[in-house]
Order: sequence, then C-alpha cells, then structure tokens
Amino acid sequence: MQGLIQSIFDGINDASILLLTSLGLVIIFGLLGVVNMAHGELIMIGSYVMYFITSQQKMNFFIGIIAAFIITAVIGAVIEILVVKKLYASPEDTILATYALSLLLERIVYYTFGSSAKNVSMPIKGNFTLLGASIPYYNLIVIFISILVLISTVLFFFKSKAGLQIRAITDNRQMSDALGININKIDTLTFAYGAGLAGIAGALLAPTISVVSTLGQQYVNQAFMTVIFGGVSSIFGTSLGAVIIGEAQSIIANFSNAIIAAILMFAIVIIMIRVKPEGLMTKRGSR
Amino acid sequence: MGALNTLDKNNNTKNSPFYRMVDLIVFMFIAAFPIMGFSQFRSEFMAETMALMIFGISIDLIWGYAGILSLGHAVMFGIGAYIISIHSNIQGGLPSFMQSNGLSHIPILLLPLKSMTISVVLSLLLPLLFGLIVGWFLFKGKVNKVFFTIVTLIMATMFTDIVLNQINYTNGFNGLQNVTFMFPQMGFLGQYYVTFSILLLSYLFVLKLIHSKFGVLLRAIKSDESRVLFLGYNTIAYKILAFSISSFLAGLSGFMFAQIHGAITVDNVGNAASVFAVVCVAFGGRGYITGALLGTLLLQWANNILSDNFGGIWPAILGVILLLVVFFMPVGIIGKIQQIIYHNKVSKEKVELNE
Repeated sequence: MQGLIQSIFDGINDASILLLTSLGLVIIFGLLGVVNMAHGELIMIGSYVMYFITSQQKMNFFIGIIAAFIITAVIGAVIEILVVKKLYASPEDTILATYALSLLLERIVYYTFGSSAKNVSMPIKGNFTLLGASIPYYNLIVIFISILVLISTVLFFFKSKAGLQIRAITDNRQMSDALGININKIDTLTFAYGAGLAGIAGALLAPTISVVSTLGQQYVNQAFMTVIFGGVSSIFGTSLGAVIIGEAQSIIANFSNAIIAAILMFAIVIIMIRVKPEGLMTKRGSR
Repeated sequence: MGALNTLDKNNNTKNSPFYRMVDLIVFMFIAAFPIMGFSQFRSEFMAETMALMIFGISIDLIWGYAGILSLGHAVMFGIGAYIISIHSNIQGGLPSFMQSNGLSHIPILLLPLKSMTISVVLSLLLPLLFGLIVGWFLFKGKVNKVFFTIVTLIMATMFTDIVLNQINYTNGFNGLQNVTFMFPQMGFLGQYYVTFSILLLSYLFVLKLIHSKFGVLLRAIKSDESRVLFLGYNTIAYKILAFSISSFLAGLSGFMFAQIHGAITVDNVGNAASVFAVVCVAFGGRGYITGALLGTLLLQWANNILSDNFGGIWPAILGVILLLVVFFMPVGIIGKIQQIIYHNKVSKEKVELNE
C-alpha cells in the first residue's frame, strides 16, 4: 500500500514531464503534419542550457527555464526555415531529414560539452511526507510549471491572434493564404513554439538526471507513444494520454520493473490502435 | 492487370536491364573479393556486408516498392541473430555469463535451442511470425505511413530495452560472443561463399517477387492505395504479406550476420542499426533493389575506413549524407546515374532527329 501511494505520487511527476515532452511534439505533428525526429535532441539541448546557465554561469533556475525555451525555440525556427519548410509535401522526407538533424545535433553537443555526464543541482532540496509517501519539493515545481505551460498553450491557441491564425491554417491552408495570413511566418512560429516546449521539458528534467548528449532518445519514444495514444489533433487527448501513461507506467513498475511496465504500455497502445485507430480524443477520419 | 499497370508509374525504368547490369557487376565484385589478395579481416568484413545487404533488400522491398517505411526492422534482425547466438552459446553446457548472473542451469525456455535444427527453424520463422503479428495489428488498424514509422521506431527501442534487461538470456550490454558458423567444419572461404549464395538466393527471390503480379500490386499500392482497393484487391492483406516476407529476410540477415561476425551485441540490433540500413537504401536509391546492394556496400565500407580515424563523427557524417540525399538526390546514387545515362540517350536521339 505504501509503495502504491508512493508510485501514484511519482506517477504525477512522470506525467508532468511526459506532458511537456509530448505537448511540443503533438503541436508540431498535429498542426504541421511533421514528425519531428529531432524532438528528443531539443529536449537534450534544453537540459544542456539549464546546465550552462545554472552550473556554469551560476544564474537562477528560472532564468535557465526561460533561456532553454528561447534557445530551443530559435533552433526550432532555424530548423523549420532551413529544412522542414521545403519538405511539407512529403512527410516521409521530413522524418529522414529531422532524423539526420538529430544525429547532427547530438554530435555537436557531444563535441562542445564533452562526453562526461553533467549534473545540475536541485533549486530546492529536501522532501516532504504526504500520506506516508516521500515527495521532493522539486516535484511540486515540475508539476506547477507543466500545468502553467499547458494553460498558457491552450490560451495561446484559443485566445491569441496568432493562435487563431494557426488554427485557420490547419483548417484551410489556401483560404488562409488568400485572406492574407502570412503562412510561412505562422508555420515557423508553430514549429518554434513546439521546439521551445521541448526545451522547457529538458530544462526541468536536468536536475533529476545526469545530463548526457544521448538522453533525448529515451524521452522522445515515450512522447511518441503518448501522442499516438492521445490522438494527434488534440491537446486535451495528449494531456489525458500523458497522465494515463505516466501513472500506469509508474504503478505497473511498482509491481514489476520499469522495462516490463514500458513494454506493457506499448502493448496497450498497440491494442488501442487496433481497437480505436483514431486515438483517444481525436475525431474519426483525421488519420 | 491492365488497370493496375496504369498505376504502376516508372514501370519501364524500374525493369530496365541497366539495374540488373549493375547488380551483376556488384555480385561479380563480391564473388571475386576473397581471392583479390586482401587480408582475411577485410574479407570477413565483406561477408558481414553481404549479410547486411540482405537486410537492405528486406527494407527496399517494403519501402521502395510498397512505400512503407519501417524504422524497426532491426527487431527482426535481432530475433534471428540472438536465437542462433544463444544456440551457439549453450552448446558447451552453462555459458559463463549465465554463471556470473547466478544461474545454476540453463533456463527451461532456452533448452530447445540446444538442437541445431530447432534453432535454425526458429531464428528464421520467429521474425516472419513477428512481422505477421505486427503487420496484422498495424495494417488492420489502418495505421498509415507516418504512424507506422513511429510505431516501428518505438518497437525497436522496446526491443533494445528488453535485450538490455533480460541479461540471463542475452548477456545485456556485453552481448553474446563465440557464435560459431552453422557448418563448423567449413573454412573461411566456405563460409564466405555460403553467405554469398544465401545473398544471391534472397536477391533472386525478391527479384522474382517484384516482377510478379504481387510486385505490381505493391507498386500500385504505393502510388494510390485507395484505387487499388476499388479495383477489388485486399490491399491490407498484400501489405501484411509484404511486411512478413520482408521481416523474414531481415531475420535471415541477422541469422547470417551473427554467425559471420561471431558475436551479437545490442549495438547491432538497436535503433541506429535500423536507421543505418534505411540510410543505405535511401543513399543507394530506393525501389530498384540495386540501390540496397550498392548503398550498403558503399556506406558499410565508408564506415569501416572512416571509423579507423574518426569513429566519433560517423553518426554526423551519416546525418549529412541523409540530408544530402533528401534534398539533392531523392532517387539515390543509382537513380541519379540512371537519370544521367537516360537523359543523354534522349538528347542524342533529339540530335539525330534534328539532323
């Protein structure tokens, strides 16, 4: 029972991280139709920015988060303008091209920062006890920031002018173009925003892991699973998917081990694809 | 068939004797390689390259012909490779890695693998069966192109995790060493030409397949699946079949690779391995089979030669090659050469007409 409560609380933390990693992915995927294979490397760059800001420059943790967002968003914008923009007609080519970029980014970071694993210290140390489960204070920051990011993303898409334009383009590209919306600019903005979210995820992860240049891969796979599970065209589906997958994985891992939990979740996702191909929250016919 | 052929774009160029000529040159080069005076080390590497060529062919069959990009083919490769490697390792009683993991006897699950016949049959059939199940689940679930790629990618990562996790069976990160060839009394040249024959047979089998009605259907599915469906063909069944055959070939490739390499580690079956094969096919040119042979040959040797000096940047070089292929050479090397030759022919004819 003790273990179960602990794993439920741990699951909330995992789900928050998963929400951040998959939110950026689903925005780029759902709105632009691009599978960004370099997403994991953007997460990794976010972690390295956090390391650079807090450990090397001795600046505040929250500056690290903002810097990670801005830097990965800029990298995302550059990727969109130089590579992805020319390949919208062929999703397969974007997979190959962004995979190529992921290889390049990983190597660049590896040679810039060296092979040794980097550590980022916790901004708040210590735990507190709730219902017999020990929870680090830091988890509260993670959960708070991911909820904040979710709310601001929803507001950005449904309340701002840019968000309205993004939705208009997704709905009818040619018509939006005819109405004078700068399609190219909006595409870049969307991609940059999605990339920036990956940066925030990486920055938040940094204190809890050892930062290495290959860390992106393990997080991006779970994020892909979440996106497929939740459906590609729904932020709410992805959020729900993140909570379900994060929690389920944590609870199953409590009874067996993390690998078995991951495999079981994968099996569940595959079976769900078979039963409900459109994803958890997506309308029929959008895939 | 008539209606199908209209969907089968580039049919003429794809069957052109030009590609089969290049294939012939590649095969003659490989056949003569061990007697050209290179060290045995180089010849062994060439034998490994042949095994990977079968892998390339398996990817070209579903990607180049049916338009299905799988980034998880290393799973089938791995199943084939690990089964035969476990067989080799448990021949002399309890292998040392199991001892050091605290086992007192070989796990019951692995006991059937003591038999050569069962191991060979399993390492060839299980990848096929696995491909059948995955294909059935995904294609029946109408998982389309991009989604299919992502799901297979996740599948490959899962497989790596399983291999790393089940140390009692796979020796985890260190992998399985001391894998012997299936005909142990054979010398190196014998092994080389057995591998060569298997590559040649796989090649002829796939060539036969793509020139049959099945091949035409695959290409038609690639260019317009819904129209093939309207013509009354069960496209899903054809895709599942193609994926299963391709999985079988991938398994065969792993089966051969482990025996020649003498070892199998998680690096040979991970994500990077799947992607390397895909890059080889893209680089060589997809949809000609020739591209799979040529691309694997060139990149495999480039990797071998460059790794001696700068092993660390090889992934970056691979990335640059992939970007160049996507932006400047989507038809690959062989497609480019064909374009140049074909283009020259056309312009010559024009000149003659003008005269």
